[in-house]
Amino acid sequence: MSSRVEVIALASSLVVAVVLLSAPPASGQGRPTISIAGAEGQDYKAAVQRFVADPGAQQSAAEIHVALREALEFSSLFAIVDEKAFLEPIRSPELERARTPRCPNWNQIGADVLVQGQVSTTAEGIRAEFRLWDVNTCKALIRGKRFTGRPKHAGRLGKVIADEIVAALTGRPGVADTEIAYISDRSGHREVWVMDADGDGSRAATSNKSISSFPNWSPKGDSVVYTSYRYRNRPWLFVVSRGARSPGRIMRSLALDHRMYRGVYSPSGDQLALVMSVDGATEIHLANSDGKKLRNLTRNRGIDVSPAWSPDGERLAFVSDRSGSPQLFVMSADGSSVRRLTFDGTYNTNPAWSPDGRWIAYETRVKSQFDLWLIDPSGRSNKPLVTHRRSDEHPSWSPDGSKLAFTSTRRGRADIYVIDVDGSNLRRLTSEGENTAADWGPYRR
Amino acid sequence: MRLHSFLKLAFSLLFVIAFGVSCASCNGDEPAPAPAPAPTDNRGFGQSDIEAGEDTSEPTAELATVYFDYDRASIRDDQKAALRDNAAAIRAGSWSTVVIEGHCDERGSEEYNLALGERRANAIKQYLVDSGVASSRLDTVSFGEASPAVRGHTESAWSQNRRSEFRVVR
Repeated sequence: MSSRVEVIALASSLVVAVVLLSAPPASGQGRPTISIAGAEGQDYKAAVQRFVADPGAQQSAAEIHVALREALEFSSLFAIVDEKAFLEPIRSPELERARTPRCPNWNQIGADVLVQGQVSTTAEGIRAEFRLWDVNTCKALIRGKRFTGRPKHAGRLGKVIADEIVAALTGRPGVADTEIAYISDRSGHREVWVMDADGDGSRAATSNKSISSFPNWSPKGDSVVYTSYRYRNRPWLFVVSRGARSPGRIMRSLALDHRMYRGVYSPSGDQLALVMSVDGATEIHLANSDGKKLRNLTRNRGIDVSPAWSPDGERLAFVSDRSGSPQLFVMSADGSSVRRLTFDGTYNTNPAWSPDGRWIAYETRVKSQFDLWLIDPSGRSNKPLVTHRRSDEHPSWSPDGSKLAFTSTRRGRADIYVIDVDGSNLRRLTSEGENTAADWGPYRR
Repeated sequence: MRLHSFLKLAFSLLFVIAFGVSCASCNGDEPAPAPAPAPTDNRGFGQSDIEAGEDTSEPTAELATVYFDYDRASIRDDQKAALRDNAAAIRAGSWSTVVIEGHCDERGSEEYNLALGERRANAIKQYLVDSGVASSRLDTVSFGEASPAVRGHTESAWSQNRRSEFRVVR
């Protein structure tokens, strides 16, 4: 409960409230009665009526419609039925007067689900409500959910609604309303930038006019830790917080002759795995997020970098060249039980543990470029995810585990892309400058 | 049951999503974040209190850049003459500190390259110490692949980016 209060305090005047107008559908009864098309995505066909709106909310309704359709497609779960095929009105009825839709008319044009909605002007901004129907059984999967916000955030309301629709069908929300932090040099310096998961709304999170690297979201999504050379032209850790002043340079109790290369939050947010070197050996350390209780997790002559937490916080994957070339290893979060994970190839690095714990994505060198692979934490199963004659690097999982963001130079320069975990629906998110080091943020609510 | 429903509704009302807010009311010593081009939203990030940490070092033409082989931190034979000249210049010079920078080409992981850059800077430092430079006058810093001398994704660019540069504090 305390985290909710904190979020409200941060939110100031820009707030989206969710009100359930009636009880959500009992789990189990929710799924449309259609066959699942397999792993290729677009399992459902969605008909989306344009939301009916009062005169003051027409523009917002139009923006919600566009964002909602795009976000449903971004989920890879839906194909959108062309509204030219509609046998029923293009526009949604007002929800309080709406009866059960004529489901056969939706079924006949291939739809599995129907989305209806309404946008109203309120004292604070706009209110969007929607209903989701399984047109095969003609039952409401979501009878009424209501979101409010400022008109300028209408696009986000569309994404939030889409994520709710995904949740109604799969049991876990979609990730259209999540964000990706990354490094871009489009301003002339390498700064931390943040964009929506579909690439919309890129904005600079830092203006240090120095080198910044390795953005990493706090598990609550309220701040990003990153490395910058802004202080004395030495690499150190900094924090930038959403909508609030932040302490900037952290771990100040540590001496500057510690070379501080990277910090990665533990899943609880209480600790940071640190890539740090003292006396010329780059090792993985662990410290409380206030810098106290610093201790080594690795200690050897080789290079130990790239800590990646398991979702339960019990283990870390990392990279070490202790056996001669950079390879993936796994250890317990106290540094014990070290086990080598990769044996193929001469350069395996940048592990990223999937949210369900079943896979570790990583990059492997093939000739002079890199491909992305997935290996299971036991090392038994190892399979390619993204292969291309140009480099694909630095994978980061979406919070639902359905997608990965990564860096690719396939266009001749570095951009952030996303791809479904089955290798489909590749999509480029960035276009300006060189863009690297994507870190996909957590769910935002 | 009615109470239960009420609690459910009350909790739902508390289920609030935060948009980040721009930090219009903050007065930092820091410059405000640069506006994003064509922002569609103002879910901005606030300012940070970063104490002034100045870097007093400066580049010098008197110390030559030294180049490395891919994924190696050992001093190349063809670079030793330049490094010997650097050692002589440092021994004769009045600089209080010489900062040895380690740099890598863009291939491989950024983190591994930071460690590799540190190895390169340390290898140079050891060579200079062995050539009679006082260790107390030498400092090292790795930039990994983040500060290339030449932009580009070709071997020609890469070979010029695997290097150590020198800065001096007067």
